[in-house]
Amino acid sequence: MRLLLSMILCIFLHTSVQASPPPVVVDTTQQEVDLSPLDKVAVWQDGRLKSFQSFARSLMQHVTGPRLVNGQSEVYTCLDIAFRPGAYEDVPVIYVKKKLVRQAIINAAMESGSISPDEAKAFMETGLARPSLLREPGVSRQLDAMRTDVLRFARPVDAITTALSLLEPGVIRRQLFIIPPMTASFDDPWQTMDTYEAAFRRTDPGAAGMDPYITQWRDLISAWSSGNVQAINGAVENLGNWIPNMGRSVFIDYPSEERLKLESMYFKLKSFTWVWMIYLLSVILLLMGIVYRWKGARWLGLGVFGFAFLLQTLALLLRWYVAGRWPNTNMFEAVTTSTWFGGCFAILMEIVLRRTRMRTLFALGAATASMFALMAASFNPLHLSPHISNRMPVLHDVWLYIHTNVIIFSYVLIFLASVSAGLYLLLRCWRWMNGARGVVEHVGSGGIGSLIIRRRGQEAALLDDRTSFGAVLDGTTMILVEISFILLWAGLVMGAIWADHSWGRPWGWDPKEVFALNTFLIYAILVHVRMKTRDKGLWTAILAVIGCVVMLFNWIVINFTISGLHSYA
Amino acid sequence: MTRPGTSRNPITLLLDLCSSVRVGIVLMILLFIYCGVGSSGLPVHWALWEPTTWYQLRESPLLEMTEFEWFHWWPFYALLALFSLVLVTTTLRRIPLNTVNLGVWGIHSGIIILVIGSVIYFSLKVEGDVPIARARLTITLPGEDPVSMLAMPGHAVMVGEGADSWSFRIASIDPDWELLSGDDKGKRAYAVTVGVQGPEPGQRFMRQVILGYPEYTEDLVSSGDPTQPFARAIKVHGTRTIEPDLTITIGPDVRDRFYLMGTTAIWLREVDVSQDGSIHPRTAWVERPVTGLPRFNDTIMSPGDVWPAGVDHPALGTLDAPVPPASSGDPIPDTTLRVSDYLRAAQLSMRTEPGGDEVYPLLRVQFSTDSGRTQKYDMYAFDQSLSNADPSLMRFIHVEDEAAVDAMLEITPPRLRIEVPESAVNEVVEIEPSNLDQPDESMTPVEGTPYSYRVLRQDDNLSIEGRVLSMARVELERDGERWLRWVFDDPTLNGDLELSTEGSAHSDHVQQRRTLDERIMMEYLPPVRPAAPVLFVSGPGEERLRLLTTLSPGEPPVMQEVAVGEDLELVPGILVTPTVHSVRSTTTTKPAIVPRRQRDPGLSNQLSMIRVQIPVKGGEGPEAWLAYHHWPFESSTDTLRRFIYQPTLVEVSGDRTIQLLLSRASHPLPTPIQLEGFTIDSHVGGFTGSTSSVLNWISQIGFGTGDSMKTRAVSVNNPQEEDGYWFFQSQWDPPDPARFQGDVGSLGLNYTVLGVGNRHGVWTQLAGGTLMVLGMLYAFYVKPVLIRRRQDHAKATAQHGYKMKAEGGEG
Repeated sequence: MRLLLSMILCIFLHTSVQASPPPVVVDTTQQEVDLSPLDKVAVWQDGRLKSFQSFARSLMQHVTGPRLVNGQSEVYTCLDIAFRPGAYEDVPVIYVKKKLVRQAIINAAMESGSISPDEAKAFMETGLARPSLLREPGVSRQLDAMRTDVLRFARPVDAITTALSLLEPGVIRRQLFIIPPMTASFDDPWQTMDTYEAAFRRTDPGAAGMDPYITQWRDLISAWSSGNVQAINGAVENLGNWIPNMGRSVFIDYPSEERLKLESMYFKLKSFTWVWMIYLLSVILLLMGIVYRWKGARWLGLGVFGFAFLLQTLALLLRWYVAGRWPNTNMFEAVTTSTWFGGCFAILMEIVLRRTRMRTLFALGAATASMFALMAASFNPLHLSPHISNRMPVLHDVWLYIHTNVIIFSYVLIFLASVSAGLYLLLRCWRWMNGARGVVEHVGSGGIGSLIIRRRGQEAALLDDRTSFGAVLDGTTMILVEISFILLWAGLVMGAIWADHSWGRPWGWDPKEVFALNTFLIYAILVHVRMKTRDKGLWTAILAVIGCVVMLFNWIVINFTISGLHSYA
Repeated sequence: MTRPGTSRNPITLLLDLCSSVRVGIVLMILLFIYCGVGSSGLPVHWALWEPTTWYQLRESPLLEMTEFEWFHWWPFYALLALFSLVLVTTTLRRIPLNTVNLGVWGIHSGIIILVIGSVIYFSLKVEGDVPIARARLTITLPGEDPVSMLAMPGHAVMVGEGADSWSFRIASIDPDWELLSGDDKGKRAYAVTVGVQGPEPGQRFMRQVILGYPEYTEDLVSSGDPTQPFARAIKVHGTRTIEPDLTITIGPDVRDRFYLMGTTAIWLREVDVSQDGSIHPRTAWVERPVTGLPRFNDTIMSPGDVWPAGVDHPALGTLDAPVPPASSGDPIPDTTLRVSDYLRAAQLSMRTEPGGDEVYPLLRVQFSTDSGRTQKYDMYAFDQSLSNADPSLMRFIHVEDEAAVDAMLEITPPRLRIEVPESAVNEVVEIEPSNLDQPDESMTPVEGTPYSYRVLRQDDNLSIEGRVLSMARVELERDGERWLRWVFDDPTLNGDLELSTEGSAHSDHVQQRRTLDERIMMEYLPPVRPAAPVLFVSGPGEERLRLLTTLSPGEPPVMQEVAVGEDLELVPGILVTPTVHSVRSTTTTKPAIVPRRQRDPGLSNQLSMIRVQIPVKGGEGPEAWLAYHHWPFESSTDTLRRFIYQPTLVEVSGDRTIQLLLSRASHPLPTPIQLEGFTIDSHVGGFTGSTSSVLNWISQIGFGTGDSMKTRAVSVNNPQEEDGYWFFQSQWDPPDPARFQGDVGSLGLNYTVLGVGNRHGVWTQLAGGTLMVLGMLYAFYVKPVLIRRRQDHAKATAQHGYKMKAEGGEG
C-alpha cells in the first residue's frame, strides 16, 4: 500500500511540475477578457471548419507546444499575438522540444552573453524560449548549422522557424479565415477579416467604414492594443453573435452553434485526457480487491472504472460528433479508441464471466491500458496531438474502419494480456521469493478451452474454485491471447486487401507490416511453446509480455522513428 | 501412422526432425529475428526513439540490400522453405485429420497456401510507375520539321537555325481555364500560353492554345502598356492569329512504357552537337540494364575523384560492373560499358582553386559585422553567373590597363533623348536629380517646340516579362494639355496615359491609356555607373586589387587599394576582407558528396551517381559521371517539373558523340495510355494548393488509341485494370511559385504519375490468409466445444454403463 501511495504521490507531483506555467507575465487584462462568444465562430483551417478554440489550440501548439503562456487560454494568446505581435518578443513563448537543441541554443547564447544563468535554467526546464533569444545572431547561426543535420535536428529547428514566423506581425491574422464565401460555394475560399475588408474597400470604399463587421473588427483591434477590456468584450460579443448569423445566412455548410460549442468544450476539457487519473484510482482499487480479496475495494474499483469508462465514451462520442467521422485516423485517436475498445471488451467479459475467478481481471487490464494511453496523451500532446484534421485521401475508404479497428482492437487485447501476464510473473516472483520455487501454475489447455473442457473429469479449470490464482491469471492471459491472435491476423489480411487496391501490392515489407507480422509470430511461438513446456504458465506470461513489447515498439518506435507507408497511422 | 521418435532409421530420424515442434519454434524465432533486423535494423544506442540509433545491417557494405531485396534473399527463402517443410511434415505425421483437429489443419494449410500464393506473387511481380503529362505541344513552321514539347511551365524550344530561328517558351499554364464563349461556355479546360519570339525583334507575341478547343487558339500581342502588356490580336489586328504560317497544336501525351521499381539502367543514344551547343539525336534512346551496383555505400577509385564531404570517407575500390548492350539499335553495340564508381548522394560541383596557367581571376571575400555575423562570397571576373553574390550589389572584374579603371570613375547621369520631327529637334537632356525630388516643380520647355516636360520618376533595371527594362515617367504638356508618358530604354514600348484625375500624376494607380503622340519621340537613357555599388577590380597585373564603391547615387565612386587578409570598413559596422585573390586559377568539376547527416532519407537514391568507362580498343577510353534520373526523359523539353534531365555527353572513337543517362529499366504497357483530364476533389474551402485541402486526385486515363480508346477514372483507392496490369494513382503535380531567377511559376496539375503493376497470386494469398482465420476460430472456439461434448458423452456413457452394470448386478 505504501508503495502504491508513494507512486501516486510521485505521479501527481510530476503532473504539477509539468503543468507549472512559465514565470513571465505579459498582461493582466486576460483574466477580465471574455472570449467565450468566439466559441460560436467557425474558423476555416486546412480544409476543415473548426471552432475558434480548436483553431487557436492547434495553431498555438506550433508556438508554445504543450505549455500555456502565463496561464492564458490558447484563444487569448493567439489573439494577443495576432494583435500585439511585438509584445511577445522578450517573453518565453516558443517551445523547443528537444533537450539537445535547448542545450545548443543555451551554449550559443552564453557565448554572446545574451542569456542569464537563471533564464538558461528556466529554458532547460520548461523548453520555452523568448523569440529575441532565438533571433540572436549567434543562436541563429547555431540553428542554421543544426538544420543541416537532417536526421537529428532538422525537424525541431524547422519547428522553431515555424513558431518564429507565426509571431511575425500579420501572420496569425492571415490565418483567421472566419468569413465564409459570399458565393455560398462549398469550394470557394474563406476570407480573413482583413481580406474581407480589403475586398469591401475595392468594391465600395465608401461603405466599408459602415460595415458592422469591419467596424467591430477595427474596434477589437484598437481596444486590444489599448487594453480596453470593456471595449474588447463588447467587440467580441458582437462579432461572436454576428459572424455566425451572417455565415449561416450565406453558407449552408456553416457548422451549427451546438457543434462549435461542443468542439470548444471538448478542447477546453483537454480532450478528457485527465481521465487517466480516474483510471489510476480504479487500478489501485481493483488491485486492492484482487490482492487482498477485498470485495468493497473490488466493487468500488469497478464503479470507478465504469465512471471513467463513461467519461471516455463521452469523449469519444464528442470527438466523433465534432470531427464528423469515427475517431481512428491519427495516433491520438487510434490510441484512445483502442483503449475504449478494451473498456468495452472488459465490461462485456466482466458481465459474461462474472461468476468465474477471472472477474475483475479484465477491468483491471482495461483500466491500466486506458490509464497509460490517456497519460501518454496528457503528458505528450505533441506526439499524441488531439488536433482534429482532415483525413489523407488514401484514408477515405471503408477499409479504414474495418482494418484499423480490428488491428487496434487486437493491440489493446495484447496489452490486456500483458497485464494479466505481468501479474502472473509478479505472483511467480513473490512465490519464488517465499520459497515455492517448484510450483507450476497453469490451466492446462487453452483460454476458452479452460472455460469449457473438463479437467480430470471435474469442472473446467477456470470454473473450478479450487484452481489456483496463478492458473486463473494464466487462463485469463490465454483467453486474451487467443482473441488477439485471431484479430491481429484477420487485421493483417484485411490490411493486405486494402493495400492491394490502394498501393498496388498487398504486402510491401513496410516496417509497420513487418512488426505486426513479428507480433503475430511471437503469439504463434507462444501457442507452440505452451504445447512443449511443462511450465506453461511462466512461458505464456513471458511471451505475452514480449508480444506486448513488440506491439508497442511497432506502435511507437516504428511510427515515430522509422518511417514507412503507415507513418500517418 | 508411425509414432515419431520410435525408429533409428536415418530417413525416419530426418522425418522426426522435420516434424519436431521445437524445430518449428526455432524456425519461427529465426524468422522473427530476420524480419526485425531487416526492417527496423539493430539498435546501437539505448535511445530507441532517435533515428540514428538504428543501424541497418542490410545497408552495410557487405550486404547492400533494400528492404525488398532483404526479404527476397536466399536465407529468407531457405527459412521459409524449412518452415513450410516442418509445418507440412508435422501436420501430416503428428496431427490426425479429424473433426477435432480441423482447425489446426486449416491454419497450417492456410499458411502453405499463403506461401504458395506469395511465391507466385513475388516471382511474377512487375511493378513500376509511369508519368503522363496533360498535354504535348507540337510546333510547325514552313520548311522546318515539327518540334514538340510537353506542356510544362518554362519549357522552351528553338525552331530553325541562326538568324531565322524562332524561339518558343511556355509562359503560363492554366489547368482550370474557364471558357468564356461558345457552346461549352462556363466549362473548364487546359490552356497553355506560349511566348513566341520570331526572327525579327518586333515579332514577339503570345499564343494561347486550349486542349480540346483548337478553334479558340489566339494570339496576344504587345499593347505597349506596362500595366497590361498584351492585348488580344483580334482586337488589335482583326485576326485571331498574326502568324498564319505558324501552327501550335496541343494534344495528349501518349505513353506506352512504364519504369520498373528498384531497377537501374543506362540509357544511351548517338547525337550530333551543333556549334551553338544544341543537341540533335541521330538514334533513339536505348537502355542497358545495370546489375551489381551498391545501394547505400559509396565506392570510388580514388579519394581525389570527388570533393570531400566532411567526416564521411567513401570506400576505395573499383566496382567494374559490366554493362553490355541489351537491345538492337544500341549506338555502340560492340562496346561493353563498365561502371567503376558509385555514390549514393552527390552532385556534380564545379570549383575553382587558385593556381595553374589559365587566366581566370578569382576572388573570395568575407563580410563581417560587429555582432559577429559573417558571410562569404566567391566571385569570378569572367563569369558573373558563377558568383554567389548579388550582381546588382557586388561584382568582381579584371582589367588589363588603367584606362579601363579611369573609365569606370566617370559617371554618366540618366538622360532623355527627345525628338520632335516637326520642329527638327533631336536632343539629349540630362535628368536633373532635382526633377526627381521635386515632382511638382515647373515644366521644362523643349526649346523650339510646343512641348514642355518634367520627369516624375525613373526606375532602372526592372524585370518585366523576362526582360530587364529601365524607364522614366515623364509628364508632357502641349497647348495646355497635359498627359503622362512612360518612356522606356526600348522606345517601342513607350506609351501615353491620361493623368490621374485624383491625386498626383506620379501615383501608382492604373491610368487610362491614350493614343501615343507620335509628334514627340522619346527614349530613356539609363545612367552609366560602375557595374555595382561594390566593385572589386583586379589588375592590371597579377597582384593588384582595388575596391570601387559607389554607395550613394549622387556621389562619385571611391577607389581604394585592398590586400588579401586585410580588413576594410565598408560602412560603419561592416568589414570586408579579401581572403583569396588570384588572377590564375583552375576549374575542376567533380561530384561533391552530400554528408550522411545531411541526407534526407525520403530522397532515397534520387541523388545517386555512377562513373562509367567506355572502353576503346587498345586503351581505357573516356569516362563520365552520370546522375540518376527518376525517369529517362526524351529531352529537356520532355521533363516534368521537379525532376532533372542532365544527360552526359561523351565523345567516342570516330568523332562520334554518345549521350548517356542513368535511370531505370522500362517495360511495355499493355496498351498506350494518355491523360484525358486531371481533377481534384477538395475539402470545404476548395483546393488551396496544399495536400491538406485535397480529398482525392482523379486522373481520367484513356486506355488504347483512336476510336478504341476507353477513358476511365483512376483515383486513390480506385485502381483500374487493363490486360492484367493495375493502374494506381501515385503522384501529382502540386502548384509552386517560381523557384529561381527567370523561372516560371506553376499552378500545378500538369501531370499525373500512375503506379503500374500486376498481381498474380493475390487471390491465393487471400484464400490462405482467410483459411488461417477460419482455422483459428475453429481451433480456439469449436474444438473445445467438441471435446466437451465428447467428455459429456463419455461421462454419460460411463454413467449409463455403470448404471446398467449396477442394474445388471442387482439383477
